[in-house]
Amino acid sequence: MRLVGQNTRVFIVLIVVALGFVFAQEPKYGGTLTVALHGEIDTIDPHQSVTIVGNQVYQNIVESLVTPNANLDAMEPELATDWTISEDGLTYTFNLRQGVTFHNGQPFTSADVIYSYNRIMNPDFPAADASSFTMVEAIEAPDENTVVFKLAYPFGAFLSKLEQLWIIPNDESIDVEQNLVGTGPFAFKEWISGDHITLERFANYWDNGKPYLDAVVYRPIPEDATKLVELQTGGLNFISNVPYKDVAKLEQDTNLTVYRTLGVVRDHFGFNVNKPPFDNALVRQAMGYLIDREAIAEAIFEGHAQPAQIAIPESHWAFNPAIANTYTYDPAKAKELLTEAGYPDGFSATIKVSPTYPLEIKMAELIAEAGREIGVNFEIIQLEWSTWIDEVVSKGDFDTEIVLISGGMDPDDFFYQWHHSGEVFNLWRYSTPELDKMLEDARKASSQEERKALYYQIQDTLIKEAPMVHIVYNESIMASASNVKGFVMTGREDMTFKDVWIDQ
Amino acid sequence: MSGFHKFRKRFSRNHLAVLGVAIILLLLVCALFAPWLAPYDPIKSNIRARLEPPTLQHFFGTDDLGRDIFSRIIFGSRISLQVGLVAVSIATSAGMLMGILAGYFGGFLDSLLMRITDILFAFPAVLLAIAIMAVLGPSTFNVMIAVGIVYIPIFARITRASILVVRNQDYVEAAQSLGVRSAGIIFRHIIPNALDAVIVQISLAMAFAILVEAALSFLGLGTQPPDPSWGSMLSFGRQYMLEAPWWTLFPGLAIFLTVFALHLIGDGLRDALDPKTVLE
Amino acid sequence: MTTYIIKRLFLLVPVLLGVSLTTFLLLRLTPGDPATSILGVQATPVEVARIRKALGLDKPWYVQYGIWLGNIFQGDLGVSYQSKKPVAELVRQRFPATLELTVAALLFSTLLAIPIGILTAIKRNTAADHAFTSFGLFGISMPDFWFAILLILVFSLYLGWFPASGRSPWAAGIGKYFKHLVLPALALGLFNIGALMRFTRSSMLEVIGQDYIRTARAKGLSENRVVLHHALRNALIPTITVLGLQIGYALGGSVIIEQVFAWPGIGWLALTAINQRDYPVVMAVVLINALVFVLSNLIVDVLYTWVNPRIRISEEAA
Repeated sequence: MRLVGQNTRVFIVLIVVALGFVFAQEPKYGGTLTVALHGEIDTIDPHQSVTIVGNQVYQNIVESLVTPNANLDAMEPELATDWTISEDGLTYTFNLRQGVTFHNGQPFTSADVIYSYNRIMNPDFPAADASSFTMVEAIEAPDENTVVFKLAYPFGAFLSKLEQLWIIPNDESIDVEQNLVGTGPFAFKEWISGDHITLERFANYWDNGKPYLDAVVYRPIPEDATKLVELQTGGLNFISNVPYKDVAKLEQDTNLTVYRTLGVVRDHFGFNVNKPPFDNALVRQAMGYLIDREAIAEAIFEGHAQPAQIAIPESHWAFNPAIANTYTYDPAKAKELLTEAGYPDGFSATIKVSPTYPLEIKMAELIAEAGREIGVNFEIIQLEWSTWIDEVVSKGDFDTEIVLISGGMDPDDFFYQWHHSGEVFNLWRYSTPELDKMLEDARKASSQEERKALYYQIQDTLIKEAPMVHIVYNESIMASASNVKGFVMTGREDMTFKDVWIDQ
Repeated sequence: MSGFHKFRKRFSRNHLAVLGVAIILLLLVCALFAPWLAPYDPIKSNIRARLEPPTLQHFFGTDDLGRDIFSRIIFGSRISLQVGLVAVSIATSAGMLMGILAGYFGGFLDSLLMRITDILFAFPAVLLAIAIMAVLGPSTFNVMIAVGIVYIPIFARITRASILVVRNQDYVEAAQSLGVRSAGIIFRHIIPNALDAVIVQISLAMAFAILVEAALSFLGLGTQPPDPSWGSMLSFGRQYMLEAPWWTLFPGLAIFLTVFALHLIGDGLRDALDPKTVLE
Repeated sequence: MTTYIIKRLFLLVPVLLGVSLTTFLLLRLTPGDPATSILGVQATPVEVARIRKALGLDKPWYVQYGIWLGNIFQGDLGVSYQSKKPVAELVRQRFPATLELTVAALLFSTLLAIPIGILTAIKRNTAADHAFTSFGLFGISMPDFWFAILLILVFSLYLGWFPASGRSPWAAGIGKYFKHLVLPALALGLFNIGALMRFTRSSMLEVIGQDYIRTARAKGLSENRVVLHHALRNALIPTITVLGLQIGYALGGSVIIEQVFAWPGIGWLALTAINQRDYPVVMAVVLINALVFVLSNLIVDVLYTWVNPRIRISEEAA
């Protein structure tokens, strides 16, 4: 029943969106969008920033050759107008958009692409995404308006990785860390630490007539209650990370608009496969049956979540329908599996979580409670975020963990970096030559059918071996004043304001 | 009339202080008999009874996982009292030791110890507690250590100050001239006299410890879930202050009452121990 | 007097050195790697090693501390690992906010607490005394973040009197500036009200009981005159000391208040910096806090002796 109800709601949202198009008004110019960020950004430099809030700001200042569509299932032109891929999948040739200028007046050419690429790949530069481009063998600029990437091996997800190649002007004198210059709809004006970041409308933006807003002001507000009151009292007109329990209230408020998508944000329960008892696949499978996903979706997400089995969303072309509903809430079955695994009396283990992700702490509480019923004694340990990363990711010093994961477009994004041997994100240390080979083959395979077959196998393996079991896909929720128009939410935490205008 | 009797008489005349003692005794009872007093398992969730307002089934309502807040507060009294007691024991023992050494022996040792307290003092208390928690890792016991360390300089200062007063008094000088060893003098004459000021401070320090536990819980560094501490209940419940005010109201009241009672006792002790106070 | 001040200033050095060394060691003992928080979780060990080297984190800790100390003496606070902004700029942007908040909170609490303290002392053991004393205890007994959110819900959401967060620059109008300041100052000041009020009350009581006040009364001076001219002046002297301590506490106490109200001060900066292992920022903030604390205490001590020349400056006082 609950699932049907949810689908209905999504359906209604779609109708509202559709009506919006029918009665689309002419966008108006002017106004300032005041946006809450969940916390202070790390850095304004797009090649160094590693935070979601950082990305939410700089994605309005700088652009890439290509950008994902709102469904995150294909790449669209941005600073490249079109591209060709050679038969062997090794050469990508991009035709660049002409007549584009940077905020400092400099025209955009292929030299800027090369410059940006070299900046990221410079071994002395602490780039956040250098590893996205390990498959690139060479980059060339035959003329001002063309860029050619030569790959060392075919790489099906190359276009989606290119999003990370944010283009900055080919000018050493610009201090990108202090004063970011790009081609985007808004130009960076100032960043007063802890107070605000201001972006101004870029009048010479290449996409004619856009943007509509005069300025975007970002304010870091970590406390949810404060952020909500600011939205309700008009101090802000756009917020992200709306607490789930407030969605219904905000949706009833006619002065506000709520945006919801069920995207690629997901929760899982992960196990250190090097540590007993989690070195035993039966124990890990048992854990899959200990999670009451429906109860979690209701109690923790107020219904704004759906049970999950695997990282990739069910709507994705690579999702393997055979694994749907594998793990359900079934403590008896869990007990059976534990007995079979040689732990008839249960065991004790820790769950490491972080207060940065408070909902995951509640999940841990519910799972620990289910565990007690069958003799599994979980101790919950909250670690402050940097410590969590140190212990769980870097050192592998944990029994089990629960953390939020977000992002992914190509199936490669959902599996390779998380499960291939030696990858930093392979938190659970599960590694077999067979899985590695499947992941590598799926990366290099050129046809979608071939890739699909491989990803089906990969999902079968992951469900059976269960280095982690999934809990739920979470809705992402943002809200604005109702006179804010034209915002389109993607399945990620994107906040691009190039089409946004204020009806005033 | 012995000193203690005089003290008891003075203290019991202070009705507010007696009220404070009564509240703390009530809490002690809650803490000791929690399993019998609490109607529900404090960490048992019940998804079908989420966010219920106070009723006869749930005196103080339920939280977002349907746990009984009344039971959680009863069990939470154990944590809060423990945090207060252990933290203050750490702070008083270490602080008094430093204060006695500094005050009695003076000289270089005094300067050294006092510089150390200056350093601890100069740290913002909450930041110091956060830093210590970051190093030790989060657990209720580490909260006690962190709060204890933060409070050491205060006890050191108080002890030293009262020892400076006592040290130069006739009976101490007499004892010294009679060749009584330092340890003897310290235990027999100095500590008992310095204790008054320390005792007054103890109840205040306990109050402070309970508040710091709440602050650390706000930052996720306090008591670990699902254990119910009042601070962590406030911290998790604060997002629901409009929808489920009872979730924060009752733990907030519990903290308030406890801290309030400790202050009343502190005031009562100060009045009762201070010979200048005129009984009215 | 001058030699006393010079001596006290000289004593600042070991305290500040001790504070910086303690902070430095605490940071190095804390698990978590600045390199990972700079590069992101996905950084490879090679990248991590490279950036650790670039930041000098591969050197022994005493060498790192020596380098930091050397830079400090040249007035160089370093560059933030995260924002890549000079730490001096961050401090310049954020310290004034904390100072404003602290001063506002203290002003507000002093203005309320001292009159109430006096009143409760004069009207000792009356209903008014009990009511105000309970109110003072109420202030000390509330967890600050809870009270802060309560203020936001009541005064921003329901009454709409004050904005819920942020700081408004002077340039945007004085009225607006003060409107933003009110709620965080109230939240931060609440604790001080209780403490100060209780202190004023007890020192008033002590003074009232003394001989010269009795004499003044016996001489037939009016009660107001006795209280205001004789008792108050003497009672306020110890209160000043407490005020000095409060400045230090308020600076520290603002850590959580600043975060709740998104007030761009150094307390919140320190919290973020600790979480991100942004060593240079944490070092600078703690050092500045310590400096302000020690200096404000020095000023109070000097004021103290100046107001009340009978007090001999103790050699041990520091």
